[in-house]
Parts: sequence; C-alpha cells; structure tokens
Amino acid sequence: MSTEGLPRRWDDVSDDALVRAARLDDQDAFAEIVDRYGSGMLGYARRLVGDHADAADVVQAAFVSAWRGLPTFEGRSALRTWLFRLVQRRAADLARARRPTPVDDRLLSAISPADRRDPLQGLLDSELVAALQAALAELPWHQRSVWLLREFEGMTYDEIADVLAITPGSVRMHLHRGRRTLAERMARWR
Amino acid sequence: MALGPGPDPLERATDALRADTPDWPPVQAAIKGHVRTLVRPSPTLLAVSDAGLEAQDATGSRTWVSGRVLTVLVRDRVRALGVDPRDVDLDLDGDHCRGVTVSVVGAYDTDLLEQGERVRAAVAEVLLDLLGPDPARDPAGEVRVHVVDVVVGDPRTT
Repeated sequence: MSTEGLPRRWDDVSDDALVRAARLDDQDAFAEIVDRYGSGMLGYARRLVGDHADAADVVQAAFVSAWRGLPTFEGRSALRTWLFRLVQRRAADLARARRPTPVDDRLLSAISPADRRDPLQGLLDSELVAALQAALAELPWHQRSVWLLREFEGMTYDEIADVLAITPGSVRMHLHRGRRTLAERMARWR
Repeated sequence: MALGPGPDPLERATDALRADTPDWPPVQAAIKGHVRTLVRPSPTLLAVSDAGLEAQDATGSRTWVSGRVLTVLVRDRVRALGVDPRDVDLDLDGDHCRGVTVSVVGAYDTDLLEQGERVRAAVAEVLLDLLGPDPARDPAGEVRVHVVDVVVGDPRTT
C-alpha cells in the first residue's frame, strides 16, 4: 500500500497529527502513540492495580479501545488524558471482576532489583515501596487514582478530573484525603 | 549508616516507587503486534468495469473493494498535496460508493480554495482508478472537501 506523502519520522509529529493519521488507519502513527505514552500508562496501571501482568493486560485493552475509538475521538481531551481515561476504565473493569487481594510476595518480586552498591538502602527502599503499595491498595479507588495521577504523572486538577470524569473540586477532596491517609499509614517508617 | 529521622517516609517511598519502572519493551511489542491484527469495520464497495457495468466480464464476475483500501488511498493522496486529512466519509448506496467527503487541515497563509480544488481532483481520480466510472456517482458532486482547521506550519506534522 502506498506510503506517499507520509512523514518518515513520527517522533517529530504532534499528537494532533498522529491522531488524524491513526483515525485513518495509519498503523505506524498508532505505533508512535504506543511508543509515546505506553510506558507511562503501564507505570500508572501497575501502581493502580498492583500487579505487572494485570497492568499489561489493562494497558493492552486500553490501546485496543483507543484503536477502535479513534475514528470517533473528537479531540475534546488531550490525547494523553484520553488514553489515561481508557486505562482507568479498563483497570476499573478489572477491579470489579476481581476481589481485592492483599499485597503478597508477587508484588515484592515485581520490584526492581535494589542498588547493589548499597544493599541496606535497597532493602529499605523495597520495604518502603511494599508498605506504600499496601497502603495504596487499601485506599478508596478515586483517592488512589487521584494521588497517582498527581504524584507520578504530574497532571493538573483539571486533567485528573477529565481522566476520572469527576469535578476538579472532587479531585482536590480525594487528593487531600488520600495524602492524609497515606501519610498516616507511612508514619511508622519515620 | 545512620538510620535516624530522615525525609518524610511518604516522600521517600514515593521516590522509591517512582524509580521502580516497569518492564515496558515486552509489553510494547505485544501491544503493537496485537493492534496490527485488529481491523476496523469497513464497508465493501462494488467496482464497475471501464464501461460502468457491475459485471466485469461475460460470466458476470463482480469485483468488491474494501472501503478501508479507498480510505487509505485517499489519505495518502491528500497528504501528498501538503494538507492533512482528518476524516474520509464514504457516501454509500448499497454496495456503491456515490461520493466521498474529505475533511482536511490546511496550512495557514496558503490558498485554501486552490488546495481544496487539488484535493477534490486527486480524490476523484482515486475513485475512478479504484472503483471505475460508476454511474451511481455524480461527477459534479462526488467529492466534497471541508477545511476543518488551519495550523501554522506543515499540517501533516503539526
């Protein structure tokens, strides 16, 4: 099939132009969207659902939804916000389908290897991460989502509101409560 | 090593979790491979013979073309003209494609009317090449071009 007129490097192309191309069945443009945002989506999904394999399934399902939904995507949200909304929805589907599970060894095994130059610090970090993951898992869904989107993705209140389909005022409330609960849960590590 | 009071434990844990990046490349490859197997729904279009007949030969053979093929050809031809197509809507009458509406993004400070005419002519050529001189199409109105946005710079990358 002809590639006449297509740019050779997609990494220099704006999100808007990528979306237009992908709407019209351009798989290379969609692959660039995957490259551009997939890693962040996977990180968010893993922190949200607490398991790498589940997170990978969530992100794949989100991208399948994105591919199918692009022809009707009207661009009222930024591409990144829209993609995170799809992750949020697929993760919510997963959470509804499964009972909550406590943090266990599987979670610890998914943590990156500690810095070998300082095993004690690495061990402390691993335990801290596990404690934080456990605290996150017990947070209500919206508080957990809001806190992760704010702390790890650096989203504004408006962007988070867009992802979660709630008001910016609700975002503020969930963030305040989530921070307070997490701070209380982590206080014993002081 | 001193383990006395340090930074806020939530901050320390957040920093440690931030440094814990997921193994993205295998997931990335799986997603790309999976998405390439997905095909969006697309109509099937009847192509006519050079004489404008549905039957391509004496035995009555007919030729159908996926609407996706038409969309992709239109997309690439329009892009080659320096404008960026956003939507390609097919006007269908059963198996026949009566016309195409192309929505495009153009470049600021260019002659959009002239570009629109070039787009119209190019798309009409694609229709003729791919589907033949179908009498179901009205040559005067088979292609409609809507300029839906104008950007500064190359619209194909901006």
